[in-house]
Amino acid sequence: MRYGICLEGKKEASLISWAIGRISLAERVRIPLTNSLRERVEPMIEIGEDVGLGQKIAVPASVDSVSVHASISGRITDIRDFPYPLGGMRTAIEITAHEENRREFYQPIEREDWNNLSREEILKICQELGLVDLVPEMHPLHKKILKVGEKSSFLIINACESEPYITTNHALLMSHPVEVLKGAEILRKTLGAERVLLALEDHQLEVAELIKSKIYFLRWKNYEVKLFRARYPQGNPSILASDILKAKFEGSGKFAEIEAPVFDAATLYALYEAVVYQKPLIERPVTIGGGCTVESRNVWLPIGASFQDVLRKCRGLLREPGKLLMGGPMRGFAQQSYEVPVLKGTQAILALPREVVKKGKEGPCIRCNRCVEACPVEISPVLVATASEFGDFDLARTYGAEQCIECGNCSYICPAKRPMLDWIRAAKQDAIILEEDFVDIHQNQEQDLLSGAKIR
Amino acid sequence: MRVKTQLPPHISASSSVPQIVWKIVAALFPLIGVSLWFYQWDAVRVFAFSVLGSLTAEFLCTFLWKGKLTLYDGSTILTSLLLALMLPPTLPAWMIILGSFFAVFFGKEVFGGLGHMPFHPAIVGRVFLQVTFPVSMSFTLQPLEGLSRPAPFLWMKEEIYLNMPPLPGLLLGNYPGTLGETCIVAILVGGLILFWQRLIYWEVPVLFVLTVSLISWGMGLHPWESVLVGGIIFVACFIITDPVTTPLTREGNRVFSVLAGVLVCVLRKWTSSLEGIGFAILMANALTPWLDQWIRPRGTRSNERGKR
Ligand code: SF4
Ligand code: SF4
Repeated sequence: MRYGICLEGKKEASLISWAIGRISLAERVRIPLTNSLRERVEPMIEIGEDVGLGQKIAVPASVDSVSVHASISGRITDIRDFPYPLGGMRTAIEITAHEENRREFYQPIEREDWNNLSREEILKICQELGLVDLVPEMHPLHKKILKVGEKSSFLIINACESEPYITTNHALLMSHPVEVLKGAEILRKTLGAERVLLALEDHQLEVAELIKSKIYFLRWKNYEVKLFRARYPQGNPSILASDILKAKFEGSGKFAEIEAPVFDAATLYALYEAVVYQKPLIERPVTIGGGCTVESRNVWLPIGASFQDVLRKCRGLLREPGKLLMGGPMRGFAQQSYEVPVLKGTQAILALPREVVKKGKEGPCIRCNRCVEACPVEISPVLVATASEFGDFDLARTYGAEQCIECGNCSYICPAKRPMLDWIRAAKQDAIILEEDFVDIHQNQEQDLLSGAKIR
Repeated sequence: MRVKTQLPPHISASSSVPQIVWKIVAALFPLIGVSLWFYQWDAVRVFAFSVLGSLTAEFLCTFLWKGKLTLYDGSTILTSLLLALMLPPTLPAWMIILGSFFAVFFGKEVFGGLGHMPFHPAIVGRVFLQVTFPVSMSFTLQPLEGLSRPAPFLWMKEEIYLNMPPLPGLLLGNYPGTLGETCIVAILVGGLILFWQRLIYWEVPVLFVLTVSLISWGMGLHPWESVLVGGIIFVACFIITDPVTTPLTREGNRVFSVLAGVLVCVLRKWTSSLEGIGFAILMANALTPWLDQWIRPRGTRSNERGKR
C-alpha cells in the first residue's frame, strides 16, 4: 500500500507488563448520560439515593440509546452538566462512594443457555447492559448490529492500534484471549458471518502467535489472524475493511464496513462479559501514558472516573504536560481540565510532554506533495485545504473534502506546519470551527451537528 | 489546572520548510566546489555579488511591506546560488547584483514570497539578464586557467556543438561555459543527494533529459551530446525539481517534465539556445495550475461525492 504514514510506536512503556492492572477504587464518578446528541435517556434515580455497583441508573428513551449503569457503589450526589471530554458540557450523574457497604467487584450471574441466544435477545442484552463500540465514536452496539443486518460475510476484530502509545487491545488480547474470541463467536452467530478475521499490526507478533494457538485449541476453523503493515491509520475501520476486502470500491467506505463489519477487540470482551455473566459495561481497559506519567500502564477504569483521580492513582505526573489527551495523539481530544470523566470510548489518557506537542511555525504551502502522498483516501488535502482557506467550501467539496476520514496525516506531515485538517473540517461542515469548540465526532455519520459551534 | 486545547493531530513530523530548503542548498555544494576550482576568484566574486543582490531585495521587501524577515528559510540564498551557477564568470558585478535583485524581487517577493511564486525566481533572473545584457552574458573564460587570466572571449553555446570536447571533458565540464552548468558529474551528485533525501521524484530529471534527447535526435542533433551541453542536466536536476513552481502530484510532475522538455527543444531550435531554455521553463511553469487541475487525486476509497 502506498498511502499512510509511519509513526513511532512508543508502546514499550505500557507494554512492560501485559497485565491490565486495577487501581484503587474511585471515590467519585461522573457518568455522562449520553454520548451523542441523538441519544435520549431517562434517569431512574434521585439525588441522595444509594446505588450499588452495576445498578441501572438510567433507561433508554429512544432506540438510539443504551442504559446507563453505576460504575461504583455509593450515593447519587448530583445530576447536572459537567465538563465532557469531547468538548462542551454534558449532563452526567455524580456518584460519591461511601465507606460502608462498598462492593468492590461485580458479582457475576452466569446466564443460562448463553450459547443459544437469538438475535433479538442479543440486541436486547446490548441495549440493556449499555454496550457501545469501545472506540471514541461510541456507536451503540445494538444499532451497529442492526445496521450490519444479516448479509455480512466477514467479521473483523480490530486490534490494530496504529496510534502511538495506545496498547489496550494488545494487553487485552494477551491477558484475555479466549474471552475476546468467545465474544467474537457470539457476535459472529448474531451477524450470520461465515469468517472471522483478527486484524493486527506487524509489531503485535506475540498476540498473533497466542491467538493462533488459542484458535487451534478451540478448533475454530473459520477464524484467522492477519497481520498488516504498521502504518497509521491502519486501525481505521473503513481503511481496514477496504484492505481486507481488497475490493475496488464501487460502494463507499461505509458500505465496506457493512460487508465486513469492524468491531474493536475491547468491545467483544465487553460483549462476552455481558452475554455470559450479565455484567453491564461499567469499566473498560485504558492506557495511561504519554511520557509525562510516572506509571505508564493499562488499567481497568470505571466509567466516569475523572482524569485527575486516575492520574493521581497512577502516582501522578512527572511534570506539567503540554497537552492532556483523551485518545491517541493523532485523533485524540485535547482536554482543558483534569476534571473530565473516562468515557466508554476512552482508549487512552495521555499526558504528552511539551516537546512532543510543540508545533513549528506555520508557513505558506511549498507544494511539496507530501500531504497528497500521506492521504489514505487518496484525495488532495492541499487543494481542499487551500480552497477552504479562501472560503470556497463548495470548491473544496468538489475536490473531495467529504471523503476525508479525518485521520490527520496531512496536518502531521506538512513541513510548512499548516493546520490542514482544520481547514478540511471547515469545508466538510461548511463553517469554521474555532479552537476549543465542541467537535462532534459523529458528524461524519449523521447530521448530528454541533452544540455551541461558533461560526466565523 | 488548565491545559491548552487544540484540534488534532497533536504531534507533527519533524521536517520543516527551512530544513528542506537548506538540504537543497547542501545538494548544490559539490557543484559550487567544482565551480570554485574551475574559476577561483571569479567564481567567488559571482557568488558573493549574487547573494548580496538577493539579500538586498529581501531586506528591501521586508522594509517596504513591513513583513517579517524570512531569511532563515533559506529560499533567498537558494535562489541566488542557483542564479549564480547559471551565470558566466566574467559578468560585471553590477549586472550580477541587478540580476539577483530582480530574481528575488520580481521572481519571488512581489508574489508573496516562498510558496507563492508562479515562476522559478532563478530562471526569472536569468532570463532578465539574458534579455537585457545578451552580449555580457555570452562572454566567458576557459576554466582552470584563472591564474594566467586570459582575456574573456565571446562564446556562444552553438560553438560547443561545433567543437565538441571529447566525452570525459563533457562530463567533467572543463570547457568554457557558465559557473555550474558544465560539470555533469557534480550536478548528478547533487541530484542523487536530492533523490536520497526524497526531495525529488527520480522521473522528473530522467523524463526531461530523455525527452530533450529524443527530440534533438529527431531534429538531427547528436542524441546525448545535445543534452550534455547547454545546461540541460542542471535544469533537470535543480530547476524543474523545485516543488513550488511545478505541479503537485507525481503524475503531474511527469507530464510537466515531458512538456518542459518539448518546449526546451522547440525554443532552442527557433531562438538562441541561451535564451530558449529559460523561456521554456517559464512557459512550463505557467502551465502548472492547469496541470494541477487536470491531474489530481480523486479519492479511491469511497464515492460519496455530492452526498453530504
Ligand atoms: S485529507 Fe483527511 S483523510 Fe486525507 S490525510 Fe488529511 S485528514 Fe487524512
Ligand atoms: S504537505 Fe503542506 S507544504 Fe506540502 S503540499 Fe501539502 S500543504 Fe503544501
